[in-house]
Amino acid sequence: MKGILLKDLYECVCIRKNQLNWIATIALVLILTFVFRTTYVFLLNVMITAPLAGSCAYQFPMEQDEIVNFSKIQMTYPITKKEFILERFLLTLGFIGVSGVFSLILTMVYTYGYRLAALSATLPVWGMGICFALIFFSVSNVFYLGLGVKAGTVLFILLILAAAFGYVLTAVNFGVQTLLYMDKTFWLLILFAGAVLCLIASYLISVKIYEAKHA
Amino acid sequence: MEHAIEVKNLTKRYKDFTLDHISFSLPKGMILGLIGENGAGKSTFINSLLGIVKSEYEQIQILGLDLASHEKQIKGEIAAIFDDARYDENFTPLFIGKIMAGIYRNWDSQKYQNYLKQFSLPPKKKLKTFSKGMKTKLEFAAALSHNPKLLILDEATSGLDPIFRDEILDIIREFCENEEHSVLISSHITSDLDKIADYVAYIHQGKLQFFKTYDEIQTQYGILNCGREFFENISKDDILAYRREAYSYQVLIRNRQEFKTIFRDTPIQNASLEDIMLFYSKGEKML
Repeated sequence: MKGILLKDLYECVCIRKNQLNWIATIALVLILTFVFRTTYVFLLNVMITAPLAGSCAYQFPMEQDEIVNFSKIQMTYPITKKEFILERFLLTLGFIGVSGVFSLILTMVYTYGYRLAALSATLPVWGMGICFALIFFSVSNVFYLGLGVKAGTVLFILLILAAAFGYVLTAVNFGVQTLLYMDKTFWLLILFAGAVLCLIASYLISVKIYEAKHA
Repeated sequence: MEHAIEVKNLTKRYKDFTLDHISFSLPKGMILGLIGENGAGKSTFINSLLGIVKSEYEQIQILGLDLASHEKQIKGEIAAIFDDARYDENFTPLFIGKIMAGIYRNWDSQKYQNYLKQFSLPPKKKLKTFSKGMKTKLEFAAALSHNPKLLILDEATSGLDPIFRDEILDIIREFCENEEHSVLISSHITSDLDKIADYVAYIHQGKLQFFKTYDEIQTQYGILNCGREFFENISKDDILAYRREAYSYQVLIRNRQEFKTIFRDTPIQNASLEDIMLFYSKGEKML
């Protein structure tokens, strides 16, 4: 499994077009952060953009594998189907962790740099972002695995649009200030529990899909 | 005797094609040539054998182990090379070695480096700069460096020039010098299999037509050119298939030795694997 993890990591960060993807995403978030020091952009960056960027990491190796049909060779390796799926989960969780650190830094910038709000208000937003990333990965991963890269990408874009729409709807109905200052403890616990359950369900479903496709 | 591959009633059904109850046993230390026209079911068979596609079977044993219960262990001892599946072209041979070291317990880095030198493959150059022949050699280097006992090649030499193919055949021969090593090679290039195969399995329209040793094929099969009168006097049991020419018949005989005892003066040519395939697929059968 270590070998496959190394391969996928390489494909995520060492291939030129994927590197440009990461650079563009980070640059966009940083520009938004430094130009727009508002609650709206803070919530957008820390709760959605930065964490979700990490949750998409698994798509890069999947796309590369589909180009050269590497999954056929992979099936001849002494790695069980559960291990394949686990490896993909570990890879993405690692990237969610890295994007989590990045969004935590952004949180500190907004809290102590821009003095947007107290840490007690901004830190739960960061936590919710991590949970959203885990849930988003859990759902989109199943579609990617089941439908393949092309159809999975279409569905992924629809999910992104749904997330964006949800955010705008919430901001319009409740107001961004309300979102920032409301007591988020309860929602954070619900989201965290939901994220854990989604991850477990996603892993089990992914194993079933992978087994159904192969012997 | 322990077998490298034992298959009983392997069946794979698609909407418009069925690989139908394939059964055979390949002894260890042998090279099996798998022949058949396009769409015959060769790749389907290999994919089913390796668990790449779901299939029905009574038994599949590879290197004496049951596939269903020892899949991971089996895959640690085999290597497969496909025509339609490759490594990412952004990788270098050096990086592929690192990947393989993290996959196979018995990966031999020194052996891999030696293969790279032997095949003149630059270790730090990306695969996108390699020719098709170089990519194939790299796959062999990676396949052989974890000391597999069974090598499975699915059209691995297609698209290669005769010089490269000859080098690949040398690699396979060297691999099989160890009696514990076996090879399953599926190829359209039957002239290569004529040079190397110990056993031949012919799949035609999803059915296994025969599984014989190459020597048996050479001894049993022959091609006879004759006129109509002679053709009509041949026992129908001796004829596998025939082709009507303008003024003569070409007949694929199934029991050449017996035939020669009766028709001593009648010249019978050797039947190559390509001849056998052509007769099976394009020849007429006796009803």
